[in-house]
Amino acid sequence: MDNRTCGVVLLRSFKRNFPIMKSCGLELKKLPMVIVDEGQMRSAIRLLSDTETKIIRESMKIPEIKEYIEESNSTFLMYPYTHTKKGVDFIRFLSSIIQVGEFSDMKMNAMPIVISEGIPQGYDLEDVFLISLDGELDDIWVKDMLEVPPDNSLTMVSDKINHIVTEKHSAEEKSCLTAVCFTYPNLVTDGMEDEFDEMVKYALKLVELDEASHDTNGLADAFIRTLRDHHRRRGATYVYELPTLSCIEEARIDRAIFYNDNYVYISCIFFKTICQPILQTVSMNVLKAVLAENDILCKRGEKTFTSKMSYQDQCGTYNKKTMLRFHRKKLNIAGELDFISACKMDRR
Amino acid sequence: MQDHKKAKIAAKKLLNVQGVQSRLYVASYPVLKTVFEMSWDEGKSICLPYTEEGISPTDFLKKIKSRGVFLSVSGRTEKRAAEALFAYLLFTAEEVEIPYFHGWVVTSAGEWHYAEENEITMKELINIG
Repeated sequence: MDNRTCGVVLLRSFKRNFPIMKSCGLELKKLPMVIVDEGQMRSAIRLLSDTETKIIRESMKIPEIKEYIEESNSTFLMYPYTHTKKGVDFIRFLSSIIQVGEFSDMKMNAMPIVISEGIPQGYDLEDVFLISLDGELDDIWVKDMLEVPPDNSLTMVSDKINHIVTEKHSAEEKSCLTAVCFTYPNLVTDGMEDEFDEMVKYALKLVELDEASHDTNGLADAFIRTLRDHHRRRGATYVYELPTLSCIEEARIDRAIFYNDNYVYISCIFFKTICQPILQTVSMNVLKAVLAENDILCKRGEKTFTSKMSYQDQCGTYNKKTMLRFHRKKLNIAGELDFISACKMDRR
Repeated sequence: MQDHKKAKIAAKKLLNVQGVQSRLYVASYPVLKTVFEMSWDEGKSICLPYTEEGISPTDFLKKIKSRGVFLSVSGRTEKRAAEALFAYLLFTAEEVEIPYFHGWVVTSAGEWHYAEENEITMKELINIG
């Protein structure tokens, strides 16, 4: 089971087992926020919803939301985030009701969740529990009801929780591990016990990533250092000047850095490779959001981090490729030495 | 047929339908909800939810009439006959526990039960009416 599949199973377990977890005081006290790539909103909704799931909007009136809360059980009240001021206010509202655990004196049996393409701007991430699901989500398949144990296996779940969850664990860790434990009976039945250990590791890693996302100070500097280290370690990455690229240079589009006077372009795949050390502690979406906030990464619109890089191939044809675009000056090492010049010096 | 005073008793069909049965559906979580169901013929039924005031026999009469079920009595005695029929059906009703909604619910025995999509829920029953 890869990380994304583990993420989906964990979220579905939070959803289906919310009433039991709540009755034991082991539910997630923070609002879960699922960060997906641009254009993946529909797929995320499809993947995480069931016939009972209710989609809520910031434009809805309080009585409507109240009715949804009253009628829902073991499911999500799903909010597809819109990058607006109202959207941010609505996240605050959802976050407060999940912390209180009830709404208008009504006990909640369904869990509010936010799905967002990219990190919401202008919102303190301290109050939310971030879960990143990168890439194409239609590829993910999870067996239906894997996360719901048979009624007579709840004792097995309870034993597993007592065995795994300790007082040393934080509240978020307890919640995530409990959600994982609900999958145990079905994993055992399907002969997939090894997957359970993977899920436990993933749950603990997820909490670690969430905590790291709340403290992003120094992340921008860490990125510049990592970029430079990667370049040095790999015996100088290929660096090519735009706009004309040879056949070889074009073939290396996902393994090289491209530049002009103002910008530096790196493909999403290569960016992921370069940032591997940082991605151990924060998610890709958080990293991109922090780089955009620090004006290092250029942003297009509210949620798009990619731009089109125009170049001319050997035959003189103009082509475009979707890349991440960085302000060249912002990548200066120690604020002075031009990054591209440093790369060229390394190559010599 | 005769009673103890040897008076003749003549039985007359009370309803224009056959195979009348009654059920009392109960959901205990998250709140106690009860719905009375009367069914007849093949799969035809009416549902009446219990309110704080209980179920009014007048409502019962209105509901069965709206579904084409008539009492074969005079207009003057119709209300009393409906009251008696309702009391009898309530007394003989089979009690069935159902979940209030799908997902995890607590049963009257205090145990957790996961109500799957194929199970009828109280919410659906109320909506069907």
